[in-house]
Amino acid sequence: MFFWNKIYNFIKGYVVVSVEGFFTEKFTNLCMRNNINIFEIKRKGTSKIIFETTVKDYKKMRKYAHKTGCRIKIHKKRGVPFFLFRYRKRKWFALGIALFIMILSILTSFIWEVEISGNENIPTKVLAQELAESGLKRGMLKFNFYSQEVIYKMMIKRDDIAFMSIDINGTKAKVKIVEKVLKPRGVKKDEPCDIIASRAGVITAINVLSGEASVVVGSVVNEGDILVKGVMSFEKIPEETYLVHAMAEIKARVWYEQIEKLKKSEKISDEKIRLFAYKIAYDKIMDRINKNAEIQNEDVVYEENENYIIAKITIETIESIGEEVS
Amino acid sequence: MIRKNVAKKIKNRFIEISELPEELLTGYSKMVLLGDKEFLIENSHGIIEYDNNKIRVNTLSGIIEVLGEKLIINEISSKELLVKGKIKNIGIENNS
Repeated sequence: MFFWNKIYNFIKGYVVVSVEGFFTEKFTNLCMRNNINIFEIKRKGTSKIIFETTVKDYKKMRKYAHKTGCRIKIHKKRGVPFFLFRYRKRKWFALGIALFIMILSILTSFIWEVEISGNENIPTKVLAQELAESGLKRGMLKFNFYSQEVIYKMMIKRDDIAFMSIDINGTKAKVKIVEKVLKPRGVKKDEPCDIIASRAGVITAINVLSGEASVVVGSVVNEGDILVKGVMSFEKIPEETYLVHAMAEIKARVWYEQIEKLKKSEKISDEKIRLFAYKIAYDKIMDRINKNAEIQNEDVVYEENENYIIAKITIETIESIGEEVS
Repeated sequence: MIRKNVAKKIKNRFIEISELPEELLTGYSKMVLLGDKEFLIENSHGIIEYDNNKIRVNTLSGIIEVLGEKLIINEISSKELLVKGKIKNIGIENNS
């Protein structure tokens, strides 16, 4: 109760008053009768008291002081109004401080950075874009953002995320992702299946463990052609067949081709553009080639138009192209 | 005279039965002492004497004398009077 009174008084402003006279008790009693609030009365010497009161009450109590023959004097002025009055010439300074705090608080209420970690197979760019679609992007307001909602949306959108969490540290949103380990593709070992070609090429080696090969070394296959059938016939009765899990090691010569077309420019020399075209094409082609492929040959051909420079890369590899399909 | 006594008795009975706060109805002062550092007097009739070591306050039931060290009257209003400081002794001088 008194505490809140004090805060209220501080905001409204109060004065420290000294009263000197023989009948200070009489004076306080008079004040009390007339609903004047006095705080923190202290005695200084035999005939002097010091106390605090509001400005309004000070004006009222002067009358009573004269009545009781006491001298009344303002000792100090305290509180917000007096403070403001004293520093009224520095209002621009105060305004600057307020502006500074305001700008700081506004700027810190945005998300300025999205940090994605934990992804191995999913590219960060894709994730960032999908996060932006589900409601977490750079430059958005912090209190507009509900992490649980974003997480739910992302989980629905992508099946390959097992766990996701979003922490906001200051202006930085930290996204942690754990990817699902996908089941290896293919067929169980005890189920019958065929082997087809995953790429077009020329067969260089074929080694069948079970099943019936339908191609030989040197034959040209297209993508999706059946290489080994999961069918075996009995030795004694060749007409009767049964299904098996085809197993074979098939290697083939495969060619990759990549064409990159770049516009000529006056500022950049043709040599540089050629180099660029080659680099872009090479990066693209290396993305397509299997990791276990053995590269046999690389060839680059440049062609020139009036406007364009075309780089054509062909790479010849030997790789295993068998794929089990039930 | 007799009637006055009867009225007083009825009033007292009423207060007893209704369990209302007595200080509001009778004007007695209620005093709350917190340890030896705070002393709150409600319904005081005014200060008679004030010193750093001694405060005398007039109430309905007599003069209340507070002795101590570094006594400060923290707040005075028409209802309450709060004394702070190290309180050593509290006494009542009945005026009857």
